[in-house]
Amino acid sequence: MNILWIGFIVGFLLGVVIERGFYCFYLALSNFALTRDYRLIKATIWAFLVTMIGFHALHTLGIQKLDPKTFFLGGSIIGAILFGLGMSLTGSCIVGTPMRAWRGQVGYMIALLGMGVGGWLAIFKGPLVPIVKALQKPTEVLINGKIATLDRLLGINHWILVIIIAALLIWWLIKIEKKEKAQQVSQEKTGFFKGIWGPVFTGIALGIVEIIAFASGKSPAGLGGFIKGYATIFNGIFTHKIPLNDWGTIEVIGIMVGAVLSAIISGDFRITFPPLRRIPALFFGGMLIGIGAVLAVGGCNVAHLISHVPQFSIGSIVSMIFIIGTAYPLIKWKAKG
Amino acid sequence: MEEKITLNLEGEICPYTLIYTVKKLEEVKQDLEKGKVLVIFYDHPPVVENIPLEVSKRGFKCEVEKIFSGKWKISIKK
Repeated sequence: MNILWIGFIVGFLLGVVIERGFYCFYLALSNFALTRDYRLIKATIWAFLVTMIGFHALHTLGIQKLDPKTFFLGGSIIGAILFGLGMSLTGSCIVGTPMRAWRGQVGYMIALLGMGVGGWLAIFKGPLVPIVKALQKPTEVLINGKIATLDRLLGINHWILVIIIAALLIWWLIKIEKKEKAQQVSQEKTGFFKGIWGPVFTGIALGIVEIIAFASGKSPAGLGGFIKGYATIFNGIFTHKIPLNDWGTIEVIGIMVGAVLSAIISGDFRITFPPLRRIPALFFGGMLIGIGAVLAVGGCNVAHLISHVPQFSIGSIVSMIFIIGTAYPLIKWKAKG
Repeated sequence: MEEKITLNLEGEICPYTLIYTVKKLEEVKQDLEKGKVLVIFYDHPPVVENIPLEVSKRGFKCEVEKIFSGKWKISIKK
């Protein structure tokens, strides 16, 4: 199958999953920070488990080779901090933004435009391009001349690491389950297009979409390239054409179609407008997300956390630490103010 | 007839929907104990999930009503 169809199908499925699962990494962090609501964290852990085991199995079976992101000391850290600030300003993440936008929230459409502009400034034209370049390749950190991964750093077989991490995460899931029982979190079941999916189903579905993307071999090792997609579409304003052979571009179009259809079928689609005072934060937040993701080696929270951390990329692990390290304290600060 | 305290959070987004709800809930806690109802309007979808959980943890009852696509009314009482 060519890149057009597989990219579109992956995007479409992702659109449905994020819309019905209400998956947003920022929401996961803020629900946890403010109310110790673990549900979206749980979805994230499930997605991580599925992708980690799936990726390494596909690699060992010789179907698709692992291709972890490299580590740029400058780009991975500074990009992640900018990304975290962008998340705080928009109140959403790389998938949370389209999820809300394609349910009809105009404010988040503006944030998507910001992402396109930010990505465009960092990839296509302007003074940011050389800065991005300077913070990337010259600051690359390798291990024995190869891409820095955790298994290489520790000098152990990747499967040992898979087993250890899986065991730790399952232990964490059991602990969460116990806490939820004590909190009496309702786990009521809802229909496919009725109500929001439970966190376990959402997480596994997200993981499966991720594995389809990875196994296709067309994408940058799993889901990702979203910002490049928005930036390419924005660039289309100047070039009067949108190249559909780019993974990210066709993927974000798929997300839009999937999420809009899913929202309409579920009866949750409605055009709403944000108060004017929120618009600058949504646009500039989107821009920071765009610039930050490009700088952090094409890394958003999805590309890092459920595509490249499961491949043990040290660059992605460092980026995730800085994304969370920036966004989390700011949630606490917002709650105080 | 139950006395109502209303708050309109339309246009507010994450995490402010949750923060403002909790703030208001703390503010009118005693009124709710006396039998008043806190009615809040939202147009930000995550509230359907995260507000009921937080409200129930604080020992209040919560009723979510979808007014129409993309607009919800949440009533909180003791």
